[in-house]
Amino acid sequence: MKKLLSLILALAMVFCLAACGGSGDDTEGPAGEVNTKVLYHAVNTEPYITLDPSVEYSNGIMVLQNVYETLTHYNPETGEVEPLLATSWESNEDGTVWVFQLRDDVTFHDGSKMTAQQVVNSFNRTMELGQGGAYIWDAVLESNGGKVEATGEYEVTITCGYPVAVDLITSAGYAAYVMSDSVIEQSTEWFNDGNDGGTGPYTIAQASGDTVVLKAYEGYRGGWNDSQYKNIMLRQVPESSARRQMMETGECQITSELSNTDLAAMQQLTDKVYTQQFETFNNIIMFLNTQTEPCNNADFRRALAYAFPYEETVNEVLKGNANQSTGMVPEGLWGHSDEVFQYSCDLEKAAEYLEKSGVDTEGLTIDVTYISSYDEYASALQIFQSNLRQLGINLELRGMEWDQQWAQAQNTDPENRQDLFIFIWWPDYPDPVSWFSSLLHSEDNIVYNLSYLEDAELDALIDDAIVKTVTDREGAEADYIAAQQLVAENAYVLNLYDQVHTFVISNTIQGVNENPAYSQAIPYYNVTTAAAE
Amino acid sequence: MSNFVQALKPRLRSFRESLYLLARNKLSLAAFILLIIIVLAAVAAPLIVPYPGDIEMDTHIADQLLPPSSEHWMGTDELGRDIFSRVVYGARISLTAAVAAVGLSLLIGIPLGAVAGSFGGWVDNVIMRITDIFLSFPPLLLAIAMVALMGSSLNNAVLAIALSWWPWYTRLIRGQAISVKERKFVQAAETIGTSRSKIIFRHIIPNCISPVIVQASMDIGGVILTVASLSFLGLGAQLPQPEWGLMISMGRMHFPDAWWYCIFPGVAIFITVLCFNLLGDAIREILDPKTRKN
Amino acid sequence: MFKYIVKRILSSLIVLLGVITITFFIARVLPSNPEVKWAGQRATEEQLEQARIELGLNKSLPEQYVIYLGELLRGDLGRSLNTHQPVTDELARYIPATLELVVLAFIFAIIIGIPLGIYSAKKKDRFLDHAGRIFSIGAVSLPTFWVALFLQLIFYKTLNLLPIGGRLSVESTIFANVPDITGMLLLDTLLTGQFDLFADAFRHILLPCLTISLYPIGLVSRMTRSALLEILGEDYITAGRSYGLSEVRILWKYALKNSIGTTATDVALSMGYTLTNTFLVEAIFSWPGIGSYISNAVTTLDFPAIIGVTLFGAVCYIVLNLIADIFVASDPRVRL
Repeated sequence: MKKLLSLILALAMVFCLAACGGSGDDTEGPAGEVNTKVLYHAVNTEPYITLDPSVEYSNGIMVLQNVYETLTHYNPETGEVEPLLATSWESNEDGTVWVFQLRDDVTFHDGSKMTAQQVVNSFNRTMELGQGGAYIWDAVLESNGGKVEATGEYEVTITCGYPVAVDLITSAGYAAYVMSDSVIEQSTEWFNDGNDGGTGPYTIAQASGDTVVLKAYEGYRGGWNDSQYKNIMLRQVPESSARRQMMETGECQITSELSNTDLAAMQQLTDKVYTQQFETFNNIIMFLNTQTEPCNNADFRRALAYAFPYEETVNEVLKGNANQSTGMVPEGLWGHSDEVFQYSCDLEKAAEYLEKSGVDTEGLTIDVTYISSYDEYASALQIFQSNLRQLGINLELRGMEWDQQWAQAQNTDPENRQDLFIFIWWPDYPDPVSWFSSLLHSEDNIVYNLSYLEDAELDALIDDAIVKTVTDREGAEADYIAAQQLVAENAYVLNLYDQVHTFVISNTIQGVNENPAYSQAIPYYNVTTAAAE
Repeated sequence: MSNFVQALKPRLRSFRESLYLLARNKLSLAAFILLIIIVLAAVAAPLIVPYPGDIEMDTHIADQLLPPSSEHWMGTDELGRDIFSRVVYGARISLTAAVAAVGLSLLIGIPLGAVAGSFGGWVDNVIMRITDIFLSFPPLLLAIAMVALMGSSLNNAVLAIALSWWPWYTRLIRGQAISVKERKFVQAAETIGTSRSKIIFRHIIPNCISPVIVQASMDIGGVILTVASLSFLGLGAQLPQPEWGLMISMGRMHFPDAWWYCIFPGVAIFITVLCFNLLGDAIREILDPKTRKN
Repeated sequence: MFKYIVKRILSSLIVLLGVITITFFIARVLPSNPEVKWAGQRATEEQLEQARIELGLNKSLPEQYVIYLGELLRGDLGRSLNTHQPVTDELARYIPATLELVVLAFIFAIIIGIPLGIYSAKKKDRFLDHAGRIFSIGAVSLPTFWVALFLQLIFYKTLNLLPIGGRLSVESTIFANVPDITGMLLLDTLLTGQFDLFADAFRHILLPCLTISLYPIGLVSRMTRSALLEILGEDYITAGRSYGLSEVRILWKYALKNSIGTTATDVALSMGYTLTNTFLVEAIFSWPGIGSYISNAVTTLDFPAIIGVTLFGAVCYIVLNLIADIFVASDPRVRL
């Protein structure tokens, strides 16, 4: 009996030891000169929902930005759109007809040459599928009097039913990708199997839900050198502590979305890693239900606005990985102005406005819905709750999933909707319009106007700005700034903070960059091994 | 209902005997005493914790994530709240939730099981197939699906757990009822024309309830774990409630640097569940005549 | 015997139908807007109408139910609202990873739990029995998600002995020719004789597997102990002893053999529990299994996916239950 037991145990031990010892040296040696360097990027979410360049409207931007390209590209430093697959473009005076000249040296991963017709087919595929971010092409839809045509071998003409800034649309991170004719007929399933047809520096080698492996496209027009990475792996590692430990051991080279504690620990580990912050166009907004008691009272809303712990949220909860918002439009995007009124946390003023509002706080409870997996919301809201408690207002926190939160916000009976609603917003292409047309403009069916605003003055400003965007950019900006001032004065929404992405990067690499217009995506082509000391 | 208690009395006496047997096993006794302390702490939580304000609404962000000290025995959390106060108060939440879930399961399970066992035939067949259906849903999965549909709150989590838990009691009490129904006093009651429902509630249920109650008390530990698991997944208690699973879920973000945040609620779960399980194990041994024979 | 098995299978089928019916109504009757998820948040009214048609939501509820049953018979669980992929395909991709984890956890449970139980029974009421009792009861009292965090800290960060998560190392994922026969890496690498990859996969599975196996280890050892004690108290064992049969022979030949039936039943049934435990552990170890899959499904209210996993769990339970019952029934001492 004892013998058998010890035999089993011994066998198990040998098994474990053999297994533990077996790894490490088996993959190094033989490869020789072949570029076997791997850049491992550990991400907190699944790296994609679909890999269909026409359809994906989520995390997949991390992958697609490296595999596909767009006609134009947004430069956050200049605030201008720059050429990418297009070399130049111009529009007619009212911004309804746009002509793009294309590069003639671009090849797809299947080896075929990019021509105007393939660009046209790509855009048409996206519009026909009509999913994800395809709405950005609304003005070009045939039903709206628009069309896309090849007017030369390397010339594309886009006609719109009404004036829009097409050069901004073609720079979008979703739904604006150019793909080869050989994949145009393929289904989303085919793309999800790890196939692609892009022009970007990488091709998809493997895709399995939580992992994506990218390999260099050798024919990329920019060429390759030894310091670049030809193998990229993105893998979902959901736990912050796990990602942090992987950075410590050097197993992965890039990660982000670490918890404050993990980040603080990383900042101490200067011999292994460094951190880099990137401003984003993502901002966190709190909507107030302006249709029902008590948030239909402007002074009550102002009281709430003065009770929110902006500074504590930025400095203590987020440890500086955010900036307090000024207005709706984040810094770095046109339409932003530092002059827009900004609330600060001031409980005395809050009490004053509460008094002025005449709202009876006796037994008053308001609720706030938020996505429960976002800890920073939970922390900020608990401080907010504690502040409101001092004013005699009970705040009930209701963490839930996005779909539940959104469904409740769209309840047909305003009384069944939440009082406060917190969420994150970013533009689908670098134009402030989406904050205004989606979030603030009155609408018949509630989609994202979650303060339920019906303000004619605001609507007029937004409508005017949209028309002027193409023809009179400065006029549009002035409209947007006036609209933001109006929103702040009425405390229609509370602009809480603009996110800052903090990446933790291994000392062995350099060149990591994130463009706020393509948030989440890192152009791996620019990443190289750090120069030897 | 007083009849019900009346019928339960002889059972209670044997419970006292069990207590004596329990006292002979030191480990089980220790578990029992510890459990009483935990229950007392849970009951008196708002009175005995050093920072009662930290349980619900207060935040002191300047004191965030302080290590354990004489002021904060278990350190503070990310909003500067005293973890000791919250862990003690958490016992109240976990115990209440677990007792409520088990109680609800008993409320569904006992009548169904008694009816199935004493009626037999197609009634039995139908009830037991329904029971099988609910048994075959993986418990946590059923709870997750329910909470996903009804929204997350501690109450919904308790309801979801009860829905997946009751079939065990139905099965147990049905077996008991089948044997009790053959006993002379039940048959006597039948012959003098006592109504079916009276027989079930006055004779059958009181006479087969004690093993179910024992089983239910042994299950509390498992249910506490399930409640914590659901809250850990964000499907149970809501912030700022100091529920243990929820605290670990928030604390893991600060693990291992702020180890105290994650460790103490975990230890609290472990000790409480361990006590219940040790006690349950001892009770099982006492009640099982076969293992006692040796 | 044969009649019993047929009867048992029939009643399992009825239970399965019940499970399917309930999941169907949970999915369809309770309020949610699958068509909005399907067509996207900015969908127009025509697109929503189209989505309703694609999802079959434009028909009456009884019709939908019949269609659903028909689809199930063909192995069609509908499409995920998120990815628009057939749920069956997605399950087929994620199930092997979880199955591998659970099966190995049970091998661990048997290798560790049964000897522990035997030992406890042999040394009843001695120190080692008490230690074993505390260990096995402790094992079922630990919050799994909590243990997982600690194991990572110890074996990855502190000792740097085992990987933190995933199924294979980066190098193996990218450069090795990873076989895909059953989807269970340990099995596949053995079948193709790639022992390096096998070792790599084994290192990766060890920690999550240990975490998950804690519960069945505790359970199996307790069950083995009490089943053994029960049998050791039987008259025929006492008789055997008085005939001078050696303890070892009594334990192995008679006692263990006779107690294995009850233990097997409990093991089979606790597998269902373990399956859901993986749910909590997979995320922590980045294990791309069904637990991770349903985590994503739950956070996005992807009902076809949630229901697919629930049905899968229920089917597992029913089948295991059936096997356990037949196993017990085939024991000649059990009269039916």
